[in-house]
Amino acid sequence: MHDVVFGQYLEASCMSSASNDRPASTPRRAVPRGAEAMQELRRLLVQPEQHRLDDLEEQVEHISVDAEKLSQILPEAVRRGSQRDHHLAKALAPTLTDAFQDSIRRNPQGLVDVIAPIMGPAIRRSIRQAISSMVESLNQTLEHSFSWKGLQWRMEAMRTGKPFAEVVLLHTLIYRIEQVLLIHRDSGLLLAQASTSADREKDADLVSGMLTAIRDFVRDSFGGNSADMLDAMQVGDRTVWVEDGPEAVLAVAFRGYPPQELRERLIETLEQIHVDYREPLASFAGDDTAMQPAEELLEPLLVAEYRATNRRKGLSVGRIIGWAIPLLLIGAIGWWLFQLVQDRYWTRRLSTALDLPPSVQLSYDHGTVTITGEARHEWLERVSERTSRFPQIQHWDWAQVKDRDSDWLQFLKQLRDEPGVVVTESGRDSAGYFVRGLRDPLARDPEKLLANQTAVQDGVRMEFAPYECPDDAFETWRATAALQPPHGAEIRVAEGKLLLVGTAPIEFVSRARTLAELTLPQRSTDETQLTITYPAWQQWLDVVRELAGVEIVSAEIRDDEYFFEGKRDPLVHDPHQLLDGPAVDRSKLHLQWQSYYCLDESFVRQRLDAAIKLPSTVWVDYQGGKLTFTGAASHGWTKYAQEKLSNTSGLPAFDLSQVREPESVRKPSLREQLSAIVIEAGREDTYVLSASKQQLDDAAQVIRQIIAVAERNRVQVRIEVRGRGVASPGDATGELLGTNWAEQVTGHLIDRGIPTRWLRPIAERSTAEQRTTSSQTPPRSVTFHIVNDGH
Amino acid sequence: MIQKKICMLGSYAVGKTSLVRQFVTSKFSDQYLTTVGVKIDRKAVNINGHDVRMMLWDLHGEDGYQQVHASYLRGMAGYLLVADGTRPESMETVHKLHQRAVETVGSVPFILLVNKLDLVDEWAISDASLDELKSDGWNVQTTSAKTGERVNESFAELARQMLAVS
Repeated sequence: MHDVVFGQYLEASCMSSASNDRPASTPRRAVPRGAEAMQELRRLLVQPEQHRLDDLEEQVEHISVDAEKLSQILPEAVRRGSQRDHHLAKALAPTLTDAFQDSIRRNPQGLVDVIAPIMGPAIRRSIRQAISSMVESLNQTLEHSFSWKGLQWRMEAMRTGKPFAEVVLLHTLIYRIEQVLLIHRDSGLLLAQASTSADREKDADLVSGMLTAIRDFVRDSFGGNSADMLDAMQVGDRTVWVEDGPEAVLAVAFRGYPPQELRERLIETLEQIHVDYREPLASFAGDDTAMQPAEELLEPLLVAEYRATNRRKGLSVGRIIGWAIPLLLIGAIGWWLFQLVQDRYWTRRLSTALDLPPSVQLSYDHGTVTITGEARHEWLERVSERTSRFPQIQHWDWAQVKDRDSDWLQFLKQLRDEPGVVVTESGRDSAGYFVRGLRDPLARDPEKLLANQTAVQDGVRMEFAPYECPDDAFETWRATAALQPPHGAEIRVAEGKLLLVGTAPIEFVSRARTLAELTLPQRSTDETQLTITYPAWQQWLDVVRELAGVEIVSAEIRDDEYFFEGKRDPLVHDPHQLLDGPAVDRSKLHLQWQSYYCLDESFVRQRLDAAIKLPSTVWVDYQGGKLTFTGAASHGWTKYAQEKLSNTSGLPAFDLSQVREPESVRKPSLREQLSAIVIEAGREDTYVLSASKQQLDDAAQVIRQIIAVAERNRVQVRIEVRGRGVASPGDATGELLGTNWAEQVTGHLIDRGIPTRWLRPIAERSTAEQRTTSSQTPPRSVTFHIVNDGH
Repeated sequence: MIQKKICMLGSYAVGKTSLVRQFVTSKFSDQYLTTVGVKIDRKAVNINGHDVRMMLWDLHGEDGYQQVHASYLRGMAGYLLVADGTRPESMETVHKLHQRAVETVGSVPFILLVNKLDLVDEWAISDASLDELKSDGWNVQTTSAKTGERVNESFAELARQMLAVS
């Protein structure tokens, strides 16, 4: 296309120059003939060229190119420039680089779109190759990892220090081509390469150079001609084969033993490269860019071939058993060894970590740690805290380790639990155990507690300072000790109060209240379950009540104060003095007395004696609330008596009517009166004496009078109470009956206030003579006789 | 990537290996280890925006017993002739090697490095002889592999010349 345009341009130029030159051609015809002929001949022969030359000269001299023309000539100019030399390319390179960079900056996607189709296949191929290589290696490795052969190879890998994968490769590989180098024959420069490992690619240029140098050296050394080149080298387990071409050398490095066909493939590939890259190879001056596509031809040479593994043997039962038994055995031994090693490892590790004392043994078994022996409590506590550091240990067995301090700790616990004992400090030093604290004097003696603990008696030091334990129990004890509660009463301290239960005298209650107020937190007593008795008061009342001439009108206790109201005969001493006996608090006693006249016989007789003087012939009998005067007295005395008695206060009614004139009557003596009293037995054969109350009262009254007289006259007498029973001669029954009756009557008399010393019960012998001599006396009876005492 | 094969040529113990070592790793060692055969190293440099990988063929030193085989020189794009400033006879070797190089690969860029500038007091090569070479069109540089003086510059210069040729 450019040629056409350029041709047209030249033609046009010739035409225009021809028209311009026409006027100038005329004078040339005036040239002399010879010269003209020569001129004409020249014109005929070279006129068109001459015109063209003239046009060109014109153009060169007047070069003024417009854009249109330039656009027409520029492509051709560039093409010619490029063909001639590299100056145009060099000149344009910076501009093109700038333009290219600017274009990329403006639109990076454009560049990506352009190179993606080119780079994509190359990248994909590279990745595919890498994955394929990796999978192949992985397959090989996995295939042999768990076989017997695999184990052998693993051992070999350990022994030689090679990676297992490499050992597998060595044993399974027939051959594998690892690197292919295309080398410039003369310079030894690397033209292209293909490799299974990126590591090898790095130094491929050096390898190429050295390979070339070595081959040159070998050839020179052995003096061969140019055709005698080193074409194989053995380096360790690798082999290098080299094939020579006219411009380039193809070297392949491989392991194993490839077939001879590989040589042929190398030659074919090398020939193909020489065909495809003839020009770049011939003009190679160091720039390998043009040779890079040749790598596509090299890559197919990276082949590998493995031995077919014999896996089709079939699994017979015998084969399975033959493998299984040893495997199981090995597995079991391995497991046992593993456990053994693990147990020892843990035993040692734990022994160190737990600072095991000599008296303690530790064993590890399947995740369980058993500790035996004896250890101090401190160590056990410390270790139990540390167990959390070993989460691998599933169970800690502490059951078999004895705590050396357990007895001591038990004793300490006992001490701490002991009421009234407070442990403030305890422990163990070089001298042994010690404990310090406080102790209520009422608490049990810690030494005695220790005495029960035979295991820890030695070397225990105890120091206890006294203190008062505020526990209710101790308060109770202290209160009990202080108050000494009487029988029937209990005291207890509860919730700061003194609880009083049962029955207790007011004196005790008062003391208890005082104690409570002084010592207890609540300062009070709880008396809801208490019945308070007032024994001193009651006793006093009893005394007062028994007192003749005194009558109690009212006696009551209000708010622990005693209120008493009574009547008192003027003849009675002030009963207040009786308070000196029983302990009635006088400050709480409120006494109120009224005067009255007691009409008891003694009071009446005292007042009677004070009022009148009785003649010896007059007797006064006080019965039925009435004084009856009997006997003989003068009328004047009767009158005096009448008057005197009427004016005397405190005397009952009286009767003087039975007082007669003197000589008119004689009162029987006391002896006669006594003798007149006979108590008869009711039945002959009974022991029971049916004496009448009246007879006994009469007898008692007479005896009292006798006693009074006897005492007054200081005469020693005795009243014989004689019991008489009748029996046949020689029979003692009668005497027994008599004694019995006499004693019965004596008892009745004693009951009536006759002192025993005045009475003597005896049996009266009853014989036939006696019966006849004293016929007046009934045969079965009791009689009274005054006898002089034996003094 | 442009690769260029460069050969280090010179007598024994003139400092070829030390120059390469200084250029590639910026290190120097006083210990002398004679090069047996060839040792190949590389260094990438950037010349006028071009990345050039220089494949440095450090050839064994030439002496009366062993010659540098021409086959090592094939395909090289440039070479460095190395002489020891303290040993005038090393210059003779330089000439022989230069001639062999030209015979083998034709005219390619090269630079003469007169090494051991750090021992300049002991130099036995006259400036006149060097000037003479310069006047013949040789590029002559004085270097010190020990101090690194003008080492990188010389290698870069050779790379520049090789790029210009291509």
